Amino acid sequence: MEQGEIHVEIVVGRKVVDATGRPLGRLEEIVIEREGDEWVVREYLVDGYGAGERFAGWTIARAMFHVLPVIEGRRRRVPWHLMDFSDPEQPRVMVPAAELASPG
Amino acid sequence: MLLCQSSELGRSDEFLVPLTLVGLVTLLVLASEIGGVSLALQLATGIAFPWWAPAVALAVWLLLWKGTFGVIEYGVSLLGLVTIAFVVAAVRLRPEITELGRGLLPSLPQHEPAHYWYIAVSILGASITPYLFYYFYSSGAVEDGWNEGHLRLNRVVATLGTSFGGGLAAAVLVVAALVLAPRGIAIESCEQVALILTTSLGRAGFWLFVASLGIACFGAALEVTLAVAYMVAQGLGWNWGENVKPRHAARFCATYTVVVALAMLIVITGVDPLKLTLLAMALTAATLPVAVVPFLFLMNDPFYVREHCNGWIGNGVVLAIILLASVLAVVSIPLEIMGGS
Amino acid sequence: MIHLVRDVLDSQLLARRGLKMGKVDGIVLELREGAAPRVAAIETGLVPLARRLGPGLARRVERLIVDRGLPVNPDLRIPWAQVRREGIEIRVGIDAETSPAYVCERWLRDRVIGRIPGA
Repeated sequence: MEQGEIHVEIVVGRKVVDATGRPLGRLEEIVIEREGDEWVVREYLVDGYGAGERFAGWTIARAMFHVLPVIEGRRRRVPWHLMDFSDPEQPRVMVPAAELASPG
Repeated sequence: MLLCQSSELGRSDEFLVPLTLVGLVTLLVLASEIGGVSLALQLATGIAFPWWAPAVALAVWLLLWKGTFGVIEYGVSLLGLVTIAFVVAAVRLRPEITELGRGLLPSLPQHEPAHYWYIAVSILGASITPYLFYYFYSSGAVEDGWNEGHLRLNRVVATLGTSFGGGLAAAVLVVAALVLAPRGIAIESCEQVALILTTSLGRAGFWLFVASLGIACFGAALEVTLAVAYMVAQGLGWNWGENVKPRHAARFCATYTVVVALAMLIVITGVDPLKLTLLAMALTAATLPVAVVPFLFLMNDPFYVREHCNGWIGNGVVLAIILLASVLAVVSIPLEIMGGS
Repeated sequence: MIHLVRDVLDSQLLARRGLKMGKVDGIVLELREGAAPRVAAIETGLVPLARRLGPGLARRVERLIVDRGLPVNPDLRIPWAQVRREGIEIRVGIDAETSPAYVCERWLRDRVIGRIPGA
């Protein structure tokens, strides 16, 4: 991997923590939008799985959680400038969870 | 269907798990089908079935190499109508209507419960066959250029076809029960099964049985081989298509060539095709959750199927059946193996 | 707006003339100081696929392919500017026949499948 680049297929599904080290959930999706001639990241979607977190490493498990109302999935939208990828294996939000928009 | 599935699962590496599992089980199913055709030839000629395996495999491969999707689908279906002989035989044996009715009601086994449930699970696996509707018919829809307008026709055909097939299977059971049970015959080999049509249809019954076994298994072998090739090619994003010349889908053709060769090798080892069939179908039932659950996600995702999402009844029925089948399979397969079969 | 995981990752790649040339096995984002990360390229090949299972595996796969000269595409990067979404598929403006993504297909066609009568 070259410097200054990240691979979507590697960071998706990773556990994300906030600025205090508190687990937020897993990186589910990256939303991009057009800016002139380029496409840039607008926000990252992080889903928390509560009690189901131990299974959430598997994509099929996360898909099931989204369909079944058993586990409450809490989706947080993280604007692009608040995500730190210094360690791609553990993405980090640069503010405490409370400062992010309410889950929904 | 597979490219949707791997997108839905979101990670190609996790998709490799169901691909491998279903691929291996399907290979066993293909071996049992090639074994079935080889058995039919053994009954017809007296030459042991392993010797027929290479010829059968070559015939399957040749038809895939030169044939089109339409030839395989319609040609084999038409020839498969020979199995109506079982319905004719069942009618000629004049079964008691009340006995037929009683047979429709589910009942618990009187003896050998492990073997009973093992066969029940195999029947479930053979009926649901995810690799067929999943890969063969969804790919066939693309090969034949179906669109949303074909949905209603497809529902009618699926309902009629499944009912017809179920009726044929019931006829086989009726004939077996009326011919074998009164004589106290418990089927252990295919030679014994070959005689069940002779009681009502005479000598012709034997040849009709041979033709039914051979044609039905040959057709299934073609479909299962294609199903594996579709699964691999679509999952990995290669060019694919039975209606495409082989040189324009080299990896797809190489896949079905390798698969047929591997299945042939399994049959050549001389493993009993009857036992192999039961095991392959039972394993199919056991792996149903892996094969069908992602399919259920697709059928409920409006991004892919728009307003044609499954209703709660459809979802409930499918989930209940695959859970039942897999639980039964997980319990009965080890019991059957430990029972020494 | 595009959702990269839902709409792009693992989608079927179509080259010119509708030829299927694999799946989108990877997406590269370029991180920039003071600006939003930019989508730089998509990748297709065994190496990005192996990378998902572990960086070590990816390196071993790449070394195996390169050292042994295997007719397999290790990693083809396609600039995002050449990428278009078409329904659930991703179309790229390159010729599959001459691209590294078709190495295996060409090898099989020329050395094996194409030599069998009726191909």
